[in-house]
Parts: sequence; structure tokens; C-alpha cells
Amino acid sequence: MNKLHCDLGKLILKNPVTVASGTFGSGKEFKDFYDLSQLGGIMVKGTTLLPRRGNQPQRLVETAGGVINSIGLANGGVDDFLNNILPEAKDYGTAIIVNISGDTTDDYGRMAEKLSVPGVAALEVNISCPNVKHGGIAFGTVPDMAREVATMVKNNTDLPVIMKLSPNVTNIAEMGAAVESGGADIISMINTLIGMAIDIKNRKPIIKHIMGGYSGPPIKPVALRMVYQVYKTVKIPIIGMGGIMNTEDAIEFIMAGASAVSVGTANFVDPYTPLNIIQGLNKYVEENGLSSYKEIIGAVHR
Amino acid sequence: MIYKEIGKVLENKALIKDSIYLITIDLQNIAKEALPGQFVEIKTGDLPLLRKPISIFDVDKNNGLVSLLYQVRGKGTKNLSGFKSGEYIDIIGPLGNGFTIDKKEQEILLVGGGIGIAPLYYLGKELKSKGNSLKFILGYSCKDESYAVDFFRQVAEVEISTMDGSLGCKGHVGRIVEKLDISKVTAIYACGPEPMLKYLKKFEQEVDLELSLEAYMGCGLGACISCVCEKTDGSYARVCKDGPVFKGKEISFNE
Repeated sequence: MNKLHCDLGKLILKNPVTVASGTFGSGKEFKDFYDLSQLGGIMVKGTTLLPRRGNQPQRLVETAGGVINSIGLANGGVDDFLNNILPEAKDYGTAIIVNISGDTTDDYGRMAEKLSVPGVAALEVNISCPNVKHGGIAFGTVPDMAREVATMVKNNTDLPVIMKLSPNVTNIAEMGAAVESGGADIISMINTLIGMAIDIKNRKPIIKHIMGGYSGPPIKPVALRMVYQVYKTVKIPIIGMGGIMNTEDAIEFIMAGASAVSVGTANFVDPYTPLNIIQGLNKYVEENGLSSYKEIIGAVHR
Repeated sequence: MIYKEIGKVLENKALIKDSIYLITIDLQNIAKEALPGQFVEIKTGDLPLLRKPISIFDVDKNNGLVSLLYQVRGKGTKNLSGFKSGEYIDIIGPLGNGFTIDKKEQEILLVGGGIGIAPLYYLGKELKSKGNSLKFILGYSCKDESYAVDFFRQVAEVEISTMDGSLGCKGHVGRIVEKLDISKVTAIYACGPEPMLKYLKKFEQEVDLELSLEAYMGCGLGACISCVCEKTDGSYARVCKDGPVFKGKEISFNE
């Protein structure tokens, strides 16, 4: 029996280890390293209704042991995804989870409808982007706006809906409760923390867009704390992420309340990280005599 | 195929202390497939977190060896300079597209500025083996900061420029190029600082111009879309995957 079998409500994964959106392309870029069917799932690069060129470079910089990025959701648009990326990705033998971003609530609805096709296992909804109809305030920072997006996506698809929470809020538990009440099936968390780095020689921000999303090992304690808080508040399953580099990190997230995890920045450092974690989890389950890894989900709360 | 290999360092010697190094690593799979103009991503230590992209200087396919000529610029390359013979190092490659090498009996200029000379050595050897006539034009800041010239002399004629005139022609490499009869040249391949590449763009109509770009990279695999450059059609291309080598006409240098 597969002791890593993972069910997140309607979304069934062969194991709880996925790869985070934006760090793994569509999967194609990592195919040379290993058979992608070993992964629990792939959150593909963020998709928008229309093609986006993305931000001006420099788009990424390493600072203080983590990475700031400001790519600007560069992508070919949802039609390009459906016509050119999904036909290949659906045969990888792993759950293809499409990450979507919108400028308006309607955008999310239209994308959910278009992406409700065979080969897509679930939708992951990025709400860290600005709501253009509300002065550019990020959807994910206002509970009512986040709830509205969750409901809009739910109303336009039968696929499991994963709401990806932004950590750039005062009360993360409140955000979790809001998307749950809006109909979300699953929560993934956390997205990146907004950060900045300065080139002191030129007296300018290193990232052309000034600020960007900070990820990697330094954000792990923040992510873990937030998973812990949201687990206490909601009943829907959580996919935990934020600086996961190895098996121990993944186990910490699971014990804090995550039913699955996502490997992000670590894919840049060592593409084999997700496989190492799957192997490590199997070993952990065996060594501790568990019948399933599920026995340790939320362990610190008991 | 892209490989992740743990390779044994055979040699890592300073050509200029604390600045320019030449490392040779046993990398059987990467050596088998590496093309001129491609690069590798190196994990140099616990930190920096990200791998460092370094272009391939030379490949010994018979013995499975890859050599890299690199400049110490930051923490990653500083770590790299500390590797000793017999130690092991974690490398991903070969990455990127490389220069066009299916040319025969042509007159080709290989222009390099600073550490940008690195990919031109393996490229020169490959082009020479196909019967092309080559000339290297190498630019340095000054005589004391010139290096690896003897390697290039073994392959073809070398002309040098230095910014202060302490070796060869005074000024940037353009001072040499502008004295040549370009009508006889069929291709220019170049790697170096952006002002140098921009200068060479003026020959994009007359010759096959190929430019190798440098960029701050995240993954090196084309996944993160960080290291983009602007193309003449206004779109962005990934330096790590669509490049690092681009046709001169493709690149705008507007941003």
C-alpha cells in the first residue's frame, strides 16, 4: 500500500509532494532530470487570460540566502496554455494544477471556465495580484475580495479549487476563513513575501520593478507559522510551502497542518529536491512505523 | 540532454591571483554533449543559494573533461576559486544553445572582451577543425590584466587591444575591427561587455553576427523566466534557454 497516498478532498495525488508555480515552468524544463510522473503534482507557471510580456529585467536577485523575483506573470495566455502546453503536460503522468491570475474577478471566472478541460487536475488561484477595479489593491489582502474570487472560480468550474494565500496580510487566519467560506476546496500557502534589495553602488533598487516576491529558506519560519494558524481556523486541507529544501522541512509543514507540500525555490538549487523529499518521507514513515504519512498531519496541534 | 553531475576537480589554477582562474573537472556526461557557447550551472557552496552560470572554455571529449575560465566577481566565484584538485563539485549542464558551428571555409572573427573571451576558445577549435579561417580579437583593460592569450595563439592569429594601450592596440576591440577589411569577413562571433556587443551590431547586415549575452539567472533551465533580454520585435527571450547566443539582428539592447 502506498503510505504517501494523498487525498485533498476531491484532489487525489500519488504523494503529497508537488512543485510550486513559477519555479518549475510547465514541467518540460525539468524533464531531462527525471520522470515527472514521480511527482505528486505540478503547479504550472502562472497563467493569465491574455498573454503578458512581463516586467523589465532585472527580474531576480539572491539576497540574504533567499531570492527576490519580479517576473510580472510573463506567460503566453490561457489559450496558449491550452493549445501548446497542456497537450504535452497532460501526459506527464502527474496531476497538472494550473495557477491562474486575474486583473478582475471576471477574469478569474472566464479562466476557470476555459481551463475546465480533461488533463487539468485542479486550479490554483493566485490572489496576490492587484485588483484593477479596486485601485490595484491585491485581492489576497482583503478578505471580502478573496472570498469573492473563490466563489467566482467555484461557480465556473467543477475542478477542485485551491486558493493560494498571500502572506502580506495582518491576519492570515482571517484570509483562510474567507476563502473557505467562499467555497475553496483547498488552501495553498504561502505565496512570496514582498521584499527589496538595493545596489548601494548605484543607489538604486536591484530589481527593476523595485519590489518583488521573496522566497527560499529565510521565509520558512513565517510560512510554517501561518500554516499553523490557518490549520487551527479552517477545515479544508492545506498545501504548505515556503522555503522547503529537504525532508525535514516538509515534515515540519505537515506537522504544522499541511496535508501536502510544494517545493519552490529549491528547484533552482537542486532539481532533484522533490524526489529526495518523496524518498525521505517514505523512509520517515517506515522508520516511525506509520501506516500513512497522514498520521502526522497537524501533529503539533495535538 | 541536461545532466546534474558531481565531478572531480583535476586542476583549479590562478592565471591572475584572486581574479582569473582555470578549472578542469571530470564531467563525463556533460563533456560528451557540450557545444561551443554553452554554459554550466555550479553549486559553489551552501551559500550563495543559487548556482552560478559559467561558460564552457574547453572540452576534452576523449577524456570527459570540461574546463572553465572564470573571473572572481562575487561570493560564488570566490567559493569556486577555493576548490582544490581531488575535491568534488556539483554541476548542471550543458545549458543554452551555443554558437552556430556548421560553417566551412569561411573567414570568421572571434571577438571577446574581458572574461567574455572564455567561450571563444572551444568555439575557435571547433571552427578551425572545419577548415574555417579565424582571427581572435581580444580586449582587456590593461597588460597586467590580460590572460589566456597563449591558448588562443595555439588556435589562430590573435590581435589584442587594451583600454590603456599597455598591450596591443589602445582602446576597445572596435579599434582593431575598424581597420580590417570587413568585406572579406563572413561571420563575427562575440562575447563580452554590452557596449562591445552594441558596437558590433553595426556589422549585422554585412556578416553573420552572433552575440553571446550575460544575464543574472535564476534556474538556468528556462523555467523561471528571469534572465530575459529584449528582442528587436519587442518580445523577451530567455538568455539561459533561448540564448545565450543570439543573432545580432534579434537583439535590441534598448533595455
